[in-house]
Amino acid sequence: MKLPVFEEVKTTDFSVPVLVKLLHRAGAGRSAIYIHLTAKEAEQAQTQADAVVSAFEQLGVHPNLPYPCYVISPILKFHPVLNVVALEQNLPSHFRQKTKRLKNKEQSLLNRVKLVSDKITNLDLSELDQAVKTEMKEHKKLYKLTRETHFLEMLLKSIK
Amino acid sequence: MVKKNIKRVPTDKMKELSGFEEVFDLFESTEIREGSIDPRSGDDTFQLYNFLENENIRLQKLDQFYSSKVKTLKKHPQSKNLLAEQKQKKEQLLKQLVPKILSHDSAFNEEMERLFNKAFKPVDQTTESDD
Repeated sequence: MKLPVFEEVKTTDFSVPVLVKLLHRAGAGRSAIYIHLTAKEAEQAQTQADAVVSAFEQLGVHPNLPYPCYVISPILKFHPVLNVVALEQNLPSHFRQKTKRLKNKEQSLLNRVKLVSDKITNLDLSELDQAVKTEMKEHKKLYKLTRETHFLEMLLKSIK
Repeated sequence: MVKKNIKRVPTDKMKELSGFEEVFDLFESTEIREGSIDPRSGDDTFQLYNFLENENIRLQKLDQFYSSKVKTLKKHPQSKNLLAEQKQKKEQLLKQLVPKILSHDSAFNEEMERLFNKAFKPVDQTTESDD
């Protein structure tokens, strides 16, 4: 098994079938991935990032679990699914490692890592992700309502 | 030609070995030089091992979150009950608050009256009071 370090996907063609091939070759879902977006306008960059998400969907791989996918673009500020960074230097240093031949201890640790990552991949991540998002929305509502109730309580106290 | 094997020895170790230089010369293939040990020799392994350990911890936390915590949350959702409880509490508070605010001599009405009078005072009165 390869070390789950950063793999770069180099492309100028952001059509979904090409991205599917490249992502599969780079080991999407088995290592962290980053892609440079070539777009020079925000809308175009958004379309390219959406194409990357569609490619992940076609591969049946979650774009952030267990290994994240980053898109590098100085124009795109935010994407609801993918992680966006402006420069390559801003990528997390955790996945930036020099690969070399592994020793026995490292190999056994890597096997353990593979086991856990496979366990995560086998979960129904999209459904669980949806459950987390729904819960997040409910919590936001609860937060707003609790603040309002607290304000009313304070008001009632001050009037008394 | 025999390639020389250069060994680096730290300064304090070199002091201990002083006087044995002639003996070292007998070993033609090795040369001992003073200086720190090459820092790149051992660090790589440690870095990679550290990375794998951190990665293992990260994945285990993700696994714990998605396979146990989220599933428990799905089985026993609490947010809806908490929301209903807060809504009920809010309604009760409003029921207590509104009559108090609506009464003619309420603190709210008095404060509003004071603000209104301050803001919309006739111009003549203000100039007189200023003088």
